[in-house]
Amino acid sequence: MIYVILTGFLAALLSVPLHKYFPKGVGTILSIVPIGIFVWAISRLENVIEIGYVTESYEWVKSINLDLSFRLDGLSIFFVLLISGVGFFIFNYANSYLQNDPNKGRFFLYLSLFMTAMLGIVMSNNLLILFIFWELTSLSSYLLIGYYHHQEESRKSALMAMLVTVMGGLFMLAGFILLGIEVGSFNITEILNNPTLLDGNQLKPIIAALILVGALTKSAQFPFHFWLPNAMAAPAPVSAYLHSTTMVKAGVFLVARLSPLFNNSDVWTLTLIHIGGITMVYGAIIAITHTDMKKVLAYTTISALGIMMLLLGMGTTISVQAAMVFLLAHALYKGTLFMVTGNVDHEAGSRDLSKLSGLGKKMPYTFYAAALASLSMAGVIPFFGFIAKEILYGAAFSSSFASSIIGFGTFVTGVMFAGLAFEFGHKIFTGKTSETPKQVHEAPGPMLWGPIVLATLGLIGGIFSEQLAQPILHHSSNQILDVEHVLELGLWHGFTIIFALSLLTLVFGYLLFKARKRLLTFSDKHKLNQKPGPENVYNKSIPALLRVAKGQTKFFQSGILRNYLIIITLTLISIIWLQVLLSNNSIHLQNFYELTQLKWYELVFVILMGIGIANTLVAKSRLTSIVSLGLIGYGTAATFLYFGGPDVAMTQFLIETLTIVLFVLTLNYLPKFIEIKRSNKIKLMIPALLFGITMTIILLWIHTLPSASPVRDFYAQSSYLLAKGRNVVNVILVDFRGLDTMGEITVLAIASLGIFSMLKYIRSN
Amino acid sequence: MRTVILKTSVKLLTPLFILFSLFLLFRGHNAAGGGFIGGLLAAIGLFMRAMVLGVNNTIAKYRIRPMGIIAIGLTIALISLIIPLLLGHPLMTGVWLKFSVPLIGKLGTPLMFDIGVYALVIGVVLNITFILSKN
Repeated sequence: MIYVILTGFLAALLSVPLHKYFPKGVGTILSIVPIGIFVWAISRLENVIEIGYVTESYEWVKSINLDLSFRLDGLSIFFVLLISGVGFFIFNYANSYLQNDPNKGRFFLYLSLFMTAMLGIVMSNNLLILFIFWELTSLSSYLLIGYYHHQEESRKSALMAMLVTVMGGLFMLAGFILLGIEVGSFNITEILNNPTLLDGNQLKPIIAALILVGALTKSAQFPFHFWLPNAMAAPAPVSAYLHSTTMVKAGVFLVARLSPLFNNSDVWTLTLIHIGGITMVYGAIIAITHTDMKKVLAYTTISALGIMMLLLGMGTTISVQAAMVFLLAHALYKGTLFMVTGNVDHEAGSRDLSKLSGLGKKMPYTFYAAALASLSMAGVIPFFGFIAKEILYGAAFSSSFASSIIGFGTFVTGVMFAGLAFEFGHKIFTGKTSETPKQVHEAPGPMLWGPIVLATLGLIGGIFSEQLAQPILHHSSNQILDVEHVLELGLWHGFTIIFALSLLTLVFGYLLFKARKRLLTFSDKHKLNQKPGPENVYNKSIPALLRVAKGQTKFFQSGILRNYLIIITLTLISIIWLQVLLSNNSIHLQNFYELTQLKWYELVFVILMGIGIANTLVAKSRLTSIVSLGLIGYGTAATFLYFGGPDVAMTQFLIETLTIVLFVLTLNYLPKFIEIKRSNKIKLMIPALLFGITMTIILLWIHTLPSASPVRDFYAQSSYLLAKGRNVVNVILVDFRGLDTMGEITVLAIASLGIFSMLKYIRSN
Repeated sequence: MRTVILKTSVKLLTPLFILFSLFLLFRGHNAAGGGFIGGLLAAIGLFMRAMVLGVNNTIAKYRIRPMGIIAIGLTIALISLIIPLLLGHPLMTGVWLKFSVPLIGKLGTPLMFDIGVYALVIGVVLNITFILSKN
């Protein structure tokens, strides 16, 4: 499995150089990778079904239990097939769609990266690895959505998608870590094998909620849904891939994956049912108010994701099975419709549903695909969408939860889907040919294969559901349910209430389609699709965040050295005192009398330094104050020397010398010396005095504490034995803490480069 | 201020400074000293010469390019970190030669690292002071 991931990354790595040599066919060449993965997954299918699951593990970062661990089971192999299968068509489609784009190589870099990350999510067997791939999808989708980076809208949408999903991802990470700590393992197989581990744990609802935030943001659930329609700024293949078949389903996948662990938790199920239900109806209603093809598809996708969340939340056998069946049906028709939209946009230059009609004569193949996909979306017999709708209604009306409300909600959504399907499959392709910005003609071959194959699969999959879809869906839903339940798919179940509902859906859907014009004028009049929603909160909070950032930067980074010093000293003082007050050690200075036994030369140092301080305070020029400061420094160094710190003393002497040299050298560059007002001086003296007093007390206090420190003993003992050096200070610097030193000297080198260029700049002006 | 006596003595003193700084560098592992202190001392010696005899004169005489010294120092330090890796130890493990060299003592990667620090400190100090004093 690791080779699958590595191949994906290799494809990403190769895409830019490949584009240089094969500017026309880079996508076609790279599509070998997804089709290869697809074939690989097919070849593993039997094995996985037989054994249940296969795992593979490589040690990575042992100290935090981060293993490169993968798992292939019914659920993940279903997703792998979906991702790689649709991916193959998307690669070819995008290659034509971006025919002469100079940045095509980069596009395929992002796309391969995205596909790999997605495969990583579904195959990972370690929560932390899952999170890493999860964030990688956020990152690569950010790059993909913002692909037309010269447009401000693209950049904004990309940022929005990333901020929302990454924010959710952070919550999820917190949930994962808590889960890992409570369960004692980050290994998904271990967790799934003992789904009762968390039962009775007080943290379970919190963990469930945290993980759900991640899943809900990624799968664009209300109120985090707004990034998805905005993400339509991306090129059509991206919309088709990310926002219909893969990335937005990551949340659904995660919920499905962890269902065995949480399906007895109220927080988990009730949140999913409520949020999913609201999203389902809300998305469908908003979809009705839009006429932009991509927007309509985006909102129906949101609605569809709501359905899946709802079904997984209900957690009954039939609802989980329905979720998987619906997921496949949705991927097939939604992928097709997005590519159809891309074709229409590409060839006709418009995406406005209310203006387009009669394109079918010029685009027969696109029409064919759109018609099949729409029939599936509307749920017409014998399409796969019909089967999905049947089982969906079956699940909704059989649930033990307030089934009438859920059932009514799904029915309303179904009607709206059917109504919109008529527009996509019927209205824009038949009737009088409308005026379009571009001369309409059929899209090139690679842009047709994908939609045609996926749409036809929707038909064949419906007719032969028992042979084609049933085995894989059966195993994926069993993986979620963690129990063996037979999934039987079929077209005909007799004249039941469900079948009557299916027929009613189509009838109402047709009526809705007919009434669409009036609905649109109504919604435009009341500005229904421009009502402030969660998006407004986002739009307001981002500038607010920037204002806070600016404000605090201004406060902390005022550019006045004096203020920095005040902030630093005051912070340090408060931290120290907080620690002192929190630890119960009272300060008692029993050895204080020892300090009174002064030697005469010690007194000399004190007096010298005192003179230095006094002189600094009253100095009338910079040079005087620098020299007086130097006096204090030398005094300190001499003290070190007398009290057994020759290394420190030597360093202090040299640094003091250099400081004075540097000060003197920079004197020319500085503005005129301004003597600070007496009142200001006193103000500045307060933090200085506080700092001095604090340090003195702390040092005296440390003196009274028992001196045996394990750290000191360790260095004293091992510096010669382990590092072959008798100078402990030096050994610490170059050996025990060598990495720190390395970092420091690197910083020093960079800083000196900075000073060099800064001074050069000053001189050149 | 730039008397003949000062000039002559500085000319003689600078090599002494450098020699002493090298002494500090090599004894650093066992007694007070080390790359940082040694580097500072050498830099001060060179800077003193530059102050009395001129920056360009000093650069010409000792063929120093501060930027180059920084680069060399950093490279030496980096190599010393990588050597143990090549010998199959974890990064930054101290590797020592079996025999010791007279005057210098035992040779090993920590000492090499210290030499890198020594060079880098000289480079950084001279880089800043030279460009400041060129005006």
